[in-house]
Amino acid sequence: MGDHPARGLWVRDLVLYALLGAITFAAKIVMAPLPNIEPVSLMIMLWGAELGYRSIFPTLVYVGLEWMVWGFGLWNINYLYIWPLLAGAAWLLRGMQSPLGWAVLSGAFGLFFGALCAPVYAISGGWAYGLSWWVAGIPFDLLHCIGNFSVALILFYPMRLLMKSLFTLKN
Amino acid sequence: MKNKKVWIAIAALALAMIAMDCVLAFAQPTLQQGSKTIVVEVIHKDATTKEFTYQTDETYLGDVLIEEGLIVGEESELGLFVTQVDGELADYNVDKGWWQLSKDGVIAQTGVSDTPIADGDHFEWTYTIG
Repeated sequence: MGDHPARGLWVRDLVLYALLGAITFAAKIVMAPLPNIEPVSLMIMLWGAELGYRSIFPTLVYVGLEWMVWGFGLWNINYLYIWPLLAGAAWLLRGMQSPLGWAVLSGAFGLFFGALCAPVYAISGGWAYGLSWWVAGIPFDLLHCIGNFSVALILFYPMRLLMKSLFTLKN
Repeated sequence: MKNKKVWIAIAALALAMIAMDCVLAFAQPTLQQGSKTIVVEVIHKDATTKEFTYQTDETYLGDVLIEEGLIVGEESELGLFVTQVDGELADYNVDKGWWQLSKDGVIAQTGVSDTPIADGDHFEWTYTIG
């Protein structure tokens, strides 16, 4: 087995994406005692803005860890599309420099989190069940919105700068 | 120009929050005050059933059932997570068992702590696997 630069780079990137996914999961656990504050949205947006399509890898690592720890349910299906959706939105808006703009994206994601999850419940239990499931969760969505907005407003810009400088060092 | 777009987005987000608050207020069930009689049916793991009738002034189901000692649970940020009904413990780690709350056969949309009660209501606790 010779030293193949392309294969080495591929393995290094895989390890990096796995670590990013694991860090996302670990950060969520660490911040769990703080009510309605979660770093996942912030980090998935960072991966989306800086890694493009490759953000799917750390995102799926994070989702996989959630499944392994919390078990299986309808929410597993939600997580398969919700977080990649956020990463995709972040990639589309990657040119945006305004911290307020990123805070709005994160806040909007938190606000509509329940609405994004509801279709799975509607398909499983009927539209009335899906609708009432969404309505019952609105208080949590409102708090999720405020928490996401605040965290992104403060942390997204400096963390993005840090990520850019770390990637510059790596390359 | 870019700042203007951001401020428009912030305004839209604020409006969306207000709209969802209105949806929530509109969808909240009206709470019945005064004395009510409710029936709670418990379907155990072995399919045996028991019926309990309560007369109460409480507004929410959780308050009645805790007071009467029918349910035991753990408080979480999402409300009371019921682990025991009529003395039977459900341990998901053992047999993937849990207690499902329904009203007139329809799965409850809110937790037991947030389920309002009205005179004549019929609730069911069903030991559910998986």
